[in-house]
Amino acid sequence: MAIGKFTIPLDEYYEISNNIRLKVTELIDDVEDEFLTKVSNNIGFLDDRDVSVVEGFSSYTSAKTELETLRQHETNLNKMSQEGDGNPLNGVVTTDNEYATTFSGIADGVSNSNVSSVVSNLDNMIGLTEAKISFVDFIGSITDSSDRAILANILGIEPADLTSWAKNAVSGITSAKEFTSLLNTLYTGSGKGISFETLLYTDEIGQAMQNSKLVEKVLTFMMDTPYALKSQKWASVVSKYAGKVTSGLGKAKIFGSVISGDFTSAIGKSAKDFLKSDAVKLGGETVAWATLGIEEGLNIKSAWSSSETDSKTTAGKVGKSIVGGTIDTISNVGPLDGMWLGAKIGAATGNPIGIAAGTVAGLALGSFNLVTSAVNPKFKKSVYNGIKNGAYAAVDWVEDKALSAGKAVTQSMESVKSIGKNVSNFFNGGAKTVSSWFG
Amino acid sequence: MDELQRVSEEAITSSKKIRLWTAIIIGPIYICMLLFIPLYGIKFGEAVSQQERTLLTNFEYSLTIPNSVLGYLFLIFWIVYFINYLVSNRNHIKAYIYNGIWSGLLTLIAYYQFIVAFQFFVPLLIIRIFYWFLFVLSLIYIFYIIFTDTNFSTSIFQKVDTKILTNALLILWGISAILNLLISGFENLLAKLLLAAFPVAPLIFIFIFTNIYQSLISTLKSLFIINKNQEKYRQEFGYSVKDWYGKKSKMYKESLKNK
Repeated sequence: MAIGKFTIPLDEYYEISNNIRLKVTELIDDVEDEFLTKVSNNIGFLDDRDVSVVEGFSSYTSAKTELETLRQHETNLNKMSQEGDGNPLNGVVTTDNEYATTFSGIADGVSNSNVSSVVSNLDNMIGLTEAKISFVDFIGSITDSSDRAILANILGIEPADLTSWAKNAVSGITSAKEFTSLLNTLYTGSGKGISFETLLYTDEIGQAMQNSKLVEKVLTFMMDTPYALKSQKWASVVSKYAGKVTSGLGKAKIFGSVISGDFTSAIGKSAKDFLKSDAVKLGGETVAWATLGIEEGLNIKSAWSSSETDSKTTAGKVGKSIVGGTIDTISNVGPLDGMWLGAKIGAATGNPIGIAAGTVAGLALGSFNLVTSAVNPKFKKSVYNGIKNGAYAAVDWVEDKALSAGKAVTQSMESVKSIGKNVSNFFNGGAKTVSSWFG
Repeated sequence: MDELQRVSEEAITSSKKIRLWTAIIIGPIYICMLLFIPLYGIKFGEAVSQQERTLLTNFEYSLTIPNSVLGYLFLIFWIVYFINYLVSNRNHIKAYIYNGIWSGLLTLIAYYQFIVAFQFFVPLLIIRIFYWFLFVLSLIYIFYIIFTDTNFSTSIFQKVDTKILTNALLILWGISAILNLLISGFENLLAKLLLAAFPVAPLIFIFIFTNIYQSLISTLKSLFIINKNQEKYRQEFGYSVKDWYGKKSKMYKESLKNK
């Protein structure tokens, strides 16, 4: 068989069918010539009465009918000996021809689209599997015990179960779309995992809404307005425009994928339904605090390693790092985070309009952050750097006073140093500490 | 009666929340939020208005509160909040009243500063005047409900369909964006779209702040009624002396002595 010829070999079948047909035709001719024609030619010599006797012979009549059958076989065999509608194998032949064309098309490079769709499907599956494996690997790669403890706390499991949890979480994911849509749900709007649902399920806001129709109206109104924008994914566009994917945010995203694994394992509901479920009602706040806490920790780490925070004493450097890191965190707060944080802070001050005023102020802060980073990043940077420099100067001032106040005070500052000996350790346990401030 | 009971419960739970660390950490953060976030807006507005040449009149520039004044206000408000903290352990209801007035004044400054900030983004003088007019109107309305006895507990929000309001604001934003683009060209498209939200923002802020004040004033009025005759309401709502007044209150100490 030549390359590029893929049909089933039917030639032998046609040839044999044809041979049989020829033999049948021969037989028909023999019967006609040697028997029936001779009978009909010589029947005239007989007496009229004998004619009817001969015509009644069974061999004669059966020969006639058998001849009919033979003719039918002849036609059938004729059809079998060549391609066409009459051939009983026609269905097989047509399908075979179709396949042959497709295969030869692929061999000749004509039908690439078929091939590429198959290949891209395979690619997707490979990508998904890779994502799953890297996810499990990521969990496994966290060796720092405090990191593992934080993760486990958030997920409500024992640190030792983390790896097996990760494997279970990814086994539920069947398509790449599921993976990304979960991440999208987490990251559009705020970029830090705070969604409107989280906002609504914040204890303070929930209570306020139950108590007062007014608060409910104000808040739903305020949330409706940006929600219309949220659907346009404007935040993601803006962050793209501003091109500000900091390393901190990168790690926060990985962190989010950890949490999204938890989301997925929830009985296959759609992400949105799940966000409204009781599971998130309890977990959403922790998620929000944790993501903010992690970013805070990262910002503080980067502030710590920056020379700007250098100080006469370690205590001074710790103080500057915390202040600087906090300012960095605030400078990245989006509208939703702002509203959420504002509501938290306002509620904690214990005044009648704290939640509402805090929410409005937070919304404004987030919007200013968002717009300045899109419109004028230089301006934004200068504002926050100005605040930072002022705060560092204040720390220096306090430090000077403390140093001049004598050795006793310096010693107490050194004890602060031992508390803040490892900034990362301090803040890895920080998510819980921070949340208890406001709780 | 129901309203009074709700308010007194709210007052007691809120006042109990105030601890020393609230006064030291959360209080100043809250004050900072309300004083300096609008200032951030004002600085940003100044930068934008210079760039876009929607220059305001000198008079309008002079309307902003000077930074040094804001610094002193911050200290004053912090000290007052500390006093609130001290009161909160001694008389929950009174502390809640002080806290309400404190927050009301603080929010008033923020309200004013926000309006000033957003004016920087409004290119047309006539619209700026219109916004000032609305702002003054809202202040007059707030003072009106303070000094009249009528109960204004039903808010404007309950009379307005918020969905219509949302849509109206989005449409206004759209108009503002289109005008902005027509006037100053199509470069920096996204930035202009986002900026176009700010000229519309005063409408939302005036609306929301008016409502916040309305709710604050109706709460405060109920609190004054309760405060005049605290003992009567304490017994009526069935609170213990310790729960109603607080651990360090005179009344609680006296009640311990009497036992």
